[in-house]
Amino acid sequence: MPEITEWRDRLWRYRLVGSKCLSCGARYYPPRNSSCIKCGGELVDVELPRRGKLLSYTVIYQAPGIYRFASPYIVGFIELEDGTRLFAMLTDVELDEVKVGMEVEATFRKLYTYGDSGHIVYGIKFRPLVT
Amino acid sequence: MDNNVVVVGYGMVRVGEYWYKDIVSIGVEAAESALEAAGNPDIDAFYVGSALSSALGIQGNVGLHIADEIGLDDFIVETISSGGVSSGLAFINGLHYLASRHGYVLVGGVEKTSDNLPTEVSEAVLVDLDRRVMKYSGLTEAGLAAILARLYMERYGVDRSKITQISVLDHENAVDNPYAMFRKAVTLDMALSSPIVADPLTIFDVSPYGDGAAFLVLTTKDRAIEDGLRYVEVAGYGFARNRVPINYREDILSFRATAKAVGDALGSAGISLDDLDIIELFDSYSISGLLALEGIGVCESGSSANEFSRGMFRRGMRPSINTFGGLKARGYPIGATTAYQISEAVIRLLSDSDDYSTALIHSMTGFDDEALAIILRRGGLNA
Amino acid sequence: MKPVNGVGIFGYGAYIPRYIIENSSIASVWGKLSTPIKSKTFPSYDEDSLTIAYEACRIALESSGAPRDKIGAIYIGSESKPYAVKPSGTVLVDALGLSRNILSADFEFACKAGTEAIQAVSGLIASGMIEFGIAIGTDTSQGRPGDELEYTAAAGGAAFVLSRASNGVVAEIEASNSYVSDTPDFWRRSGEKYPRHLYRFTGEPAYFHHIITSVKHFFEEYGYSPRDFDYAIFHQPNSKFPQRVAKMLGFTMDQIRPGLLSPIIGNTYSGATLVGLAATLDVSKPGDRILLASFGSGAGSDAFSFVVTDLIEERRAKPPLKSFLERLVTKDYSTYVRYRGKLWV
Ligand SMILES: [Zn+2]
Repeated sequence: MPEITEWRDRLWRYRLVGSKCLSCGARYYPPRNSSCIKCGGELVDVELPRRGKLLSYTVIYQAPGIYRFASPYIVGFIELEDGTRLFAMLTDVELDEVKVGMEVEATFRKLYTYGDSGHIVYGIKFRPLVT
Repeated sequence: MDNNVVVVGYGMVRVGEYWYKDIVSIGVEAAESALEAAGNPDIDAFYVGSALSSALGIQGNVGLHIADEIGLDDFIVETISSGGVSSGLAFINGLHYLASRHGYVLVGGVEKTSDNLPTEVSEAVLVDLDRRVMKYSGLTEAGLAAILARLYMERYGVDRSKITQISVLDHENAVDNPYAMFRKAVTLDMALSSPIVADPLTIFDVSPYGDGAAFLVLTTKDRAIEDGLRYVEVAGYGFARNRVPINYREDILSFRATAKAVGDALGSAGISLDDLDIIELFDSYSISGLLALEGIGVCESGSSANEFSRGMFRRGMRPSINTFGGLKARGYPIGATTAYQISEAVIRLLSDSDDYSTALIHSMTGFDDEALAIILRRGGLNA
Repeated sequence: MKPVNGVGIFGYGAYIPRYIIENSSIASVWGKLSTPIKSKTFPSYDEDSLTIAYEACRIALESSGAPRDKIGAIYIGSESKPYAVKPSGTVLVDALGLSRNILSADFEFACKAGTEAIQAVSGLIASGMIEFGIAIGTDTSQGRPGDELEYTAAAGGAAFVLSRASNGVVAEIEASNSYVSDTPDFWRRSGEKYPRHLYRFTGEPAYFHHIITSVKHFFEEYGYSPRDFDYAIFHQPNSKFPQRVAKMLGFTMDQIRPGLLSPIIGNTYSGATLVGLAATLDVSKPGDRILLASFGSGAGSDAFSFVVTDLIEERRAKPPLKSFLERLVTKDYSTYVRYRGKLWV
C-alpha cells in the first residue's frame, strides 16, 4: 500500500525538513538516512528555509496517472535561501508568469489522492512569493 | 580481466509494440537468434536485464522463464533490474563469469512496455528513479530532462532548436536499421513543431519506450578461435555512479559518472578518446545525450549541441554517433537498451564494408545515476 | 459569556485562494439576469479547507511568534472538511509542527463553526486548562451548478491563536454571546454533495432574526451600543445582507467597511466573519473596539466584542489579507468547474 509508505515520509514532506551535516554544514532534501556524502559527518534533521529562487522549470503535459487532473502543471528546480536545491511543483502561478530567477516560497497543498474516496497525500509546493 | 572475452553472436527483435506476443516469447526469439548466430553452443550462464517486468506486473523473474523456453537446463540464470543499464550489467556479469572460466554465456535484456498504459510505465519509471523526489514533486523522467535542458540553454546561451539536432541525426541513421522502431528521417522543423511532452521538450526530444529483446553470446577468445567463430573483442569497461537524488549533486549538468566510467573503460583498453570510431550514446532524451557526450569529453561543456548542429558525428565521421539510430529512433526498450547498443556496435565491427575498428558503448540509468562504458574492438577471423 | 480570566487574540492570519470567478460568467452559463455579488473566490485544484487552514495558521503563528509547543488545542470550524471521518487537526498538528499533546476536533455549525471554535478555545484558556489554543474558520463551499448558492459559495479562512491576556495579546475578548433556534433555512444531509436551502426563508426568519436577536441581547447584557464600536463585522452571505443588518442595528458604512469582503471574495462560510475580523485587525489601531456577529444556518448567531491593544502594531498578519486580494486572478466558468472537480463522473 503506497499510502503506508508515503505516510512514513509525511513529516519531512509537510515541513520541508532536510538533513544538515554537523561537520561541514551540507544540506540535503529529502533527508538522508546515513551520513554526509561530502565529509562523512553526522546528519541531523533541520527545517529548511521556506523561500528560494527558481533555477529552472518545466511544464508537464504528459502527466503520470496520479497527477492527470493537474496537467499541464509546472515543476520547478529551486534553490532555497540556504543553498539547498530541490524539485517541487509550482502552484498559484499562470504559465506566462513563470520566469527563471523568480522568488518563490513553500506552501502546503494536496498533492494527489488515491481515488475520489481515497487517502489524500498532502505536501509542499512552491508559489510566487506573497509579501 | 584474466581471459580475453569476445562477442560471438547477437540477436534482436525489432523494437516496437508486440500486441500478439508476450515478454517471454520476444525474449526467446532474440535469445534463440543470438545462439544460432554463435553456432548453438551449450550455455553455462544466462544473465537477463529487465527494468520493469516485475514492477509492471508482467512477469517476475523473467530470465528463468526464458531459460526454460529455450530448453537449456543446469546453468546459472539471473534476472537483473537496474534501470537503463539492466542488460549492460547482464553483459558485465557475463564478463565476470568468463574471467576465470571457459565456456559460453548468454547475456542481454528484455522489456515490454506496450501491455501497460503510458502513464503506468512512466509511474514505474519515476518510482525507479527516486520515488520520493519524483512522486512528490510531480516530476516525470521527461520533465527532469526538460529542467536540465532549460538550465543548459540558460547557462550556455544555447538556442532551443539546437538541442534537438541529435534526434534528427538518430532518425537519419535508423532509416536502414531493420531493428529500429522508427525508420523515417525527420527535419528539425518537424521535430520542433511536434507536440510538447514537457516544455521545452517535444516528442522528438524524448526517446520512445518500446517492447524489445536483444541478446549476445560471449565466450573467451581462445574458445572462439578453437570453435572457428568470428568475434568482436571486449577491450575494456567501466562503471560509475553519480549521486541520487539528482538534486544532491553539485551541478546537475555534470555527468561525472559517465566521465569516470568512460575514463576507466578507455584506461583498461589502453586507448584514448581519439581512438574511438563509434560512440553508441545513451540518449534517452536529447539533452541527456548532449550532457553525456560532454561528460565523455568529446565536447566541451555547453558545446555539444552546436557540434551536432554543424553536422558533426554522422556516419563515416570520427567518431560516428548512434550509427543505427540511438534511443530516439531505434527505440528505448528500457532494461534491454544496452544490449541493443552493444549489438549495433558488434554489427559495425564485424562488417566488412564499414571502416570501424573501435567502439564505445555508453549506457545509463536515469540521468547519469549509473553509467556504464564498454569498449569493443574489431577482432580476428574477419578476413 | 464573559471569561473570568482575560483571554485574547495572540496572533492571527487569513488566507484566500488566488482564483476568483465573476458572477457574470456564472450568470452567462445559466441565463440569469441579476446576481448577488461581483465575484467570488474558489480553491485551486490542490486546495481544500485544510490547506487553507494551514496557510492561515502559519501566518498567525509566524507573525506572532506564538510558541508551537504550548498550543493546547486546535479546533477547526468548517462545513467542507476533506474527510467526513478523520479530523483535519490531525494533519495540521504534524504539518505545523505543533505539540502532539493537544486537543483537536472539527466543529460544524454551518457558517458559524469558526466563531464557535473561538468560544470553545477561550473557555479552555480562561479555565486554565490550556495556555494557548488555535481556533480556525475555513471553507471551500460548494453550490449546486445553477443554484443561487453557486454565485456566492466561496473559499477562504482565518486562524486565531488565542492565549491568556497576561501573555500579551493583540486584542482582548471582552465578552461573547450565542443564540440558537431550530430554523431550517439551509442544510446538507449526510452523503449529499451540495447543500439545500429554502430561498427567501434564509433572510428574515434566519439571518436577520438570529443576528439581530443575538447582538441586541449582547448589547443589553453588557451595556454596549453601536457607537461604542470602531468597527463591526457581520456574517456576509452576499453584499446586501451585512449592509442591511448593520443599518438595522444602527451601524454605519464606515464601521463595517474594512471587514466587508463578500462583494469581491463571496461567502467564505465558516471563514466569512473571521476573514473580515482579520482584515479589520490589519487596519485597526490600539484601543479600537470591534463587534463581530456570525451567523450559522440551522440556525444561530454568535456576537463578540474585541478591544485592540498596543501589540497590534508588531503582530499584524504578514502577509496581510490585502496581499492576497492583490494577487487575485479571474478565471472562467470552465476552469472553475474543472478545479472544483465538477467534471469528474
Ligand atoms: Zn558534511
